[in-house]
Amino acid sequence: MTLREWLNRVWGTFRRTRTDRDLEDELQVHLELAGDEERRRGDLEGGAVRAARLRVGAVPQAMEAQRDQRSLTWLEDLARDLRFACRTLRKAPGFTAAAVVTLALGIGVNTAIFSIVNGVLLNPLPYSGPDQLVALYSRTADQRRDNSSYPNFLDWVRGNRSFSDLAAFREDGLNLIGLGQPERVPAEMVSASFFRLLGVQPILGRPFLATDDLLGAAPVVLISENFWKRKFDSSTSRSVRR
Amino acid sequence: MSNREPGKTDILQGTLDIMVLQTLTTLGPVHGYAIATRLEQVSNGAIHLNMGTLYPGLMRLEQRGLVRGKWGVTENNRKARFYAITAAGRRELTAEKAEWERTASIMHALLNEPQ
Repeated sequence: MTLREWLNRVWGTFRRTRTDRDLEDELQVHLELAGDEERRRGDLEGGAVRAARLRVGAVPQAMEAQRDQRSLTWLEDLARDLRFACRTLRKAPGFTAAAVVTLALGIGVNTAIFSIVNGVLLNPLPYSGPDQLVALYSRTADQRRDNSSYPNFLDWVRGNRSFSDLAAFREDGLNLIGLGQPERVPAEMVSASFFRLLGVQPILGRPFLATDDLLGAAPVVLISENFWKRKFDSSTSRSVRR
Repeated sequence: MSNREPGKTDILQGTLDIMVLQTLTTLGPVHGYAIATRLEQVSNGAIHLNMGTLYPGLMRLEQRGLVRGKWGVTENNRKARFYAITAAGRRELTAEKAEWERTASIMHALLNEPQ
């Protein structure tokens, strides 16, 4: 099928390029001309018409073949099915609403789940060398994954030959007072190597230094940008003390 | 096909187009019945087109832009749809003819090989 024929048939599916009437008229002419010829050969009136029909075929079959050629039958059927479906749905608004809500929920849940999978599993972590990050745990007789003590971590660092860097962290929660309303602040206690290992730089101030890890060093804190905006009004002055 | 009428040649797939285009070139604009009659005469009755074959074929040629159909009046004052070959149709006929002659000469050479 050439492209031009195909386009013509698509067009013929939605806009009748030739009406059924037009097609049938043409076949009738053919039949009449065939009848004339039979009569010229000397057939009787009734016999001529019959003979002509036998010779050139029947109109309904030819009409069917022409309709098939005029349009894309499957597309026409599809359009008709869609129209029928729309009419049926309009007639049953309750069912339609239920179906639409079901679909909406299904699509919504799928989208939500994909967003999570995409963020958690598919997208890499926003750190340097995300594919090389691993978590290390201790293992004890009754715990598959146990926390490690800080001295143990120091031993790991000393004996490390496998990793380019190691960092320790412990989840914590702190009580914040003296800055407006007291509040509970989620926090992480981390080793000085933590931000270096992740390749994260603070927006303001300095990253943690090895000296901050030493016993008796002054406590250092790094706050989130959000916390800085909320509690310190994005102030860059250092007047705020603990 | 087992149930075909004896003595009637099946239209080879793809040959209807070239036969119709050739007929229109020879006769000028004619209606469908004249095309069928002409083909029957030229083939000594071997080619017999019924309406269900001829008219979808003409429609396909029209959709491909190779012929153009228009209602007119016969010499006996009868309304009929007349088909004329277009420029694209003439080009198609030339190409198809060359292809057909090539195939025929190959078959001829092959079948007349000395034993």
